[in-house]
Amino acid sequence: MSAPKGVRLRYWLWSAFAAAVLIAFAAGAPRLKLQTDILALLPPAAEDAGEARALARFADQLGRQNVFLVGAADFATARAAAQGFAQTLAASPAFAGVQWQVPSDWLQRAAAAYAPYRAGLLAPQTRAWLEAGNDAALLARARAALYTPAAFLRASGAGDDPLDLFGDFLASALPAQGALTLRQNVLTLRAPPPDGKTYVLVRAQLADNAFSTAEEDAAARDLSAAYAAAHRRGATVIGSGLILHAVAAAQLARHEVNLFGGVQLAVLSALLLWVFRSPRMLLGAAATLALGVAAALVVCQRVFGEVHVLTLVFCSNLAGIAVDYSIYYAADQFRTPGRWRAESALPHLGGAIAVSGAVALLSYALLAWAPFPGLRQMALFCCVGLALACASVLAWFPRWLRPAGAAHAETLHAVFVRLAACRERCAMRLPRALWLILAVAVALGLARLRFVDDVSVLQPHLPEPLAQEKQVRALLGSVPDSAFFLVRGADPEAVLENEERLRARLDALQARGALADYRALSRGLPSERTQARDRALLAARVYGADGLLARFMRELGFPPAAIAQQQAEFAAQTTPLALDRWIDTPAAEPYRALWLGDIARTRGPPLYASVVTLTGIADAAALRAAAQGFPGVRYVDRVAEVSGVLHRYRRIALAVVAASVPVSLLLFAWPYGWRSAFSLMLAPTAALLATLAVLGLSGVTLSFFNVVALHLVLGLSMEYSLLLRLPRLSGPASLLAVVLAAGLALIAFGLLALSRTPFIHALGSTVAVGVVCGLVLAAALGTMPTVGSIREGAGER
Amino acid sequence: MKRAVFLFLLIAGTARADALPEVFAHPASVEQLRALLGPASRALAQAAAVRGEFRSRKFLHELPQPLTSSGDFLVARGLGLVWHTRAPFDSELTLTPKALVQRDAGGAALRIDAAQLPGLGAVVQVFDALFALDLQRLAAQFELYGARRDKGWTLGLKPRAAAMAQRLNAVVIEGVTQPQQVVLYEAGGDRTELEFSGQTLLEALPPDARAQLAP
Repeated sequence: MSAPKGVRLRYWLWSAFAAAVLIAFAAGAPRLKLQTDILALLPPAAEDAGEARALARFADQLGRQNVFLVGAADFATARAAAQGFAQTLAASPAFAGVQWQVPSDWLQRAAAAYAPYRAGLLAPQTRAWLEAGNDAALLARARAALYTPAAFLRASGAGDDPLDLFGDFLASALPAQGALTLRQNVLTLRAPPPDGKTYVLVRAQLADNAFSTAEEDAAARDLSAAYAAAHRRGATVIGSGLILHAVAAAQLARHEVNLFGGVQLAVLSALLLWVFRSPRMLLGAAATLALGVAAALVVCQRVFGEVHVLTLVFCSNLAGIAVDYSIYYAADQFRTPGRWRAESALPHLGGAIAVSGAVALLSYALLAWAPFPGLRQMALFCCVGLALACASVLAWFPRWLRPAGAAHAETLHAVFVRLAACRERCAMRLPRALWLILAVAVALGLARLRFVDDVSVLQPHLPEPLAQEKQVRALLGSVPDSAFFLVRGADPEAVLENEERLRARLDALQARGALADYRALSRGLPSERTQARDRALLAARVYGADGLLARFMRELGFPPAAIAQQQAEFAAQTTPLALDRWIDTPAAEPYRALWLGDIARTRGPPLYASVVTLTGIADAAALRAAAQGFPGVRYVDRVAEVSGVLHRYRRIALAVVAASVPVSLLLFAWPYGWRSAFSLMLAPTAALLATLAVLGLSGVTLSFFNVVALHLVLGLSMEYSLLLRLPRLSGPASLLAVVLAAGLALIAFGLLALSRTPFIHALGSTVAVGVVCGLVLAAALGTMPTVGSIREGAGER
Repeated sequence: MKRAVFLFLLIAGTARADALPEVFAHPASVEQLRALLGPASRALAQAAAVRGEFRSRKFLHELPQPLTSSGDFLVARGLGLVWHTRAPFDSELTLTPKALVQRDAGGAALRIDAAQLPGLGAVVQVFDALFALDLQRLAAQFELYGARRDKGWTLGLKPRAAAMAQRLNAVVIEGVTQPQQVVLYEAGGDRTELEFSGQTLLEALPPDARAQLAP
């Protein structure tokens, strides 16, 4: 009589614990932070924390920039539509700034910022001419800028700057506009046929990180309102920016979580109700799941400070696994239909459920071994969820569950008795030749396995924003690539000098066609060393008593006083332009985002950094080589790095799966003995190999995520093996439990296989194949023939 | 010659940036100007290119005397212009929406892409529309003015966009059948006067010019 007492005690204690968890969850739920940035799942790319922070800040900055092209058949329509589009966005709280008009006096204000320092500022071309003593070229250029229509393009006043030295510097300091031209205060371009539309550029900056913004309703709502406003005016809009991808990805994730979760819930409820004929069973199973998920969310929030939305998508299949324990327990009633009481299952099945829970827990815990933040979170989430679901079944079900009606139980029992007998007969008769053929097929499949570690597996397939992005890139021709250089130095001057050394290499690469263009801070602000050198060059060649300027001005007919005044102004300008004076002026506007500032912050000596962005990379290897042996310069290619990380972790994950087999063997050997343990691990190991073979034969390229899925396959097929092959448990009731559990897992993971995010698709399809392999192999290998089992089995019948 | 210079100095004296010519008292619509220009503008509009000679005087406000140059030009509709200065130096400037190319007597060529010259597209468009007297396109960029003058006409243009107004206060075009003189009043107080002569309308662009102006 002590057992029912213990059962009651555990029931109430666990209920109290569950209540505490739910209170904690309710208290924490409003603060639950969802992360949607894919890169947050990956290990940081940089070696040191300061650099990682700086890169993260730059990525965040870059991620907030959006470019839109509003196009129509004629310029006037496009301009009006761009205005409507920009005004709609500007009214949105999601956007901090929207620009569609270029301030007409920007060039004047930029020139004014540079003017007090012009004595040390030279365009690279002018510097080269002066250094080479090529006066003729310099004078020819100056004459063209005075006499011809080219005068309307000069950036400085003709009388004020007869040699156009300052004008040429201003032109070289301006970032390239690409295909855009200025017209009626807007930047515009004409698309080549067949498009042929005239587009007007609109820039917009998000108020917050693109991924957190995408979670808010405002961004998606206001973006579609702005698109609609442009459409009403007869224009089309194409855009490029992280927000478009983030909004689409968030919508897709929401859609998939709702769809998969909804379908799964409906099928699960219907099947459970039909099989067990008991709302109490359904309620109990739901309570175990709810407790598991609530606790997992609470723990993840505590440990990581946030929960990644992909953890939720991934773990939506947790339900498919966690519900297994409820099924195994409840299905025990069909062992002895009509005579079964809920607490009588505990001594019979409790141990097996606990062992299978422990094995699953262990295989998830091994996932956390890989230093992969996203995986750790998924592992923790699943471990907590599974442990609580498993414990809930053991604590609640013995007191909570009521058996189904005797007639229904008899019917189901009869069906599965026949099925079990059929399975034993088939297992006995399977010819050895069949096993041999299977072995050959597996060997063939394994030989054809191919691995691809590509970052694209992480990105949901979103054709619409991708197509827009591609079109914008093609039209503008100057959207920065994802790879860039990180330049560091002990002070801003050192950063600029490092940049200038790097630029010498980049100019050579650009001339060779290895890249189309780049944007660097030092184009707008030469280092003080360069400014001093240029000033010396100008003093020696241009501003002397009989220098180039004096001769040219005399030739043009300027009075001697004007010449003397220019020379005096030059002599008076001795301070170079420093970064802190420049960075807040309008002149620095196009470059400001490239300056990262002191990335060491308060830790250790200051370390300053800037970013050199690249456009149209044609030869990534040459660019990587340009940074080699160059202290202070690093080539950062997030995409390649992520692919490298995926490659490394794919290998680790494969090792973890391989290690799981002997570890599980040990775990089984402890309660069941070595012989049984070997026999129990036979089907799961074969299921692993068979799954790999199926993937190999069907030509699927495998990534890290298929390997993670193999992990789940191993855990699930070990459960099936335990219930189907262990003589003490094996029988019609276990067969029913396993068929039901496998069916539900197949539905859960089969649904994930429909996901448009490649890695979730990979997980889903691999586990779906693996579940079938695990079930069929565990069934086909038959119940383990031990003396004890025969006696026990006979007694049961 | 001396008389001409004197005349110019006189015009320079009266036509300061703050005191624009009388034509700006007569706002006009595209239709009114079309009537004013008569059949001449239609012939211009149908030509593929105009070729002729120019004399240019650039008045800098810091300089008492203008910078004078002369040579020949070719404007091809929708493609760009070739500005060949022959005196006081020899230099050929090609402006297209894509690039500025400068070839000097030494043969050395300097090419600057439009990406580094944000105003290039606008300048090429304005010159194109000026030479072709394309009123529709001029109206998009400028407020139009017009008056009859002796045998010919005077057109006045004031830029609409602030970006262009930063550079250019006004343009005055005088002509009989074709534009004979264009005066560009620059915002800084400088002024450019272009005189054209010997214009011929080309029905098709010569192959060498086509190659030169190829996009």
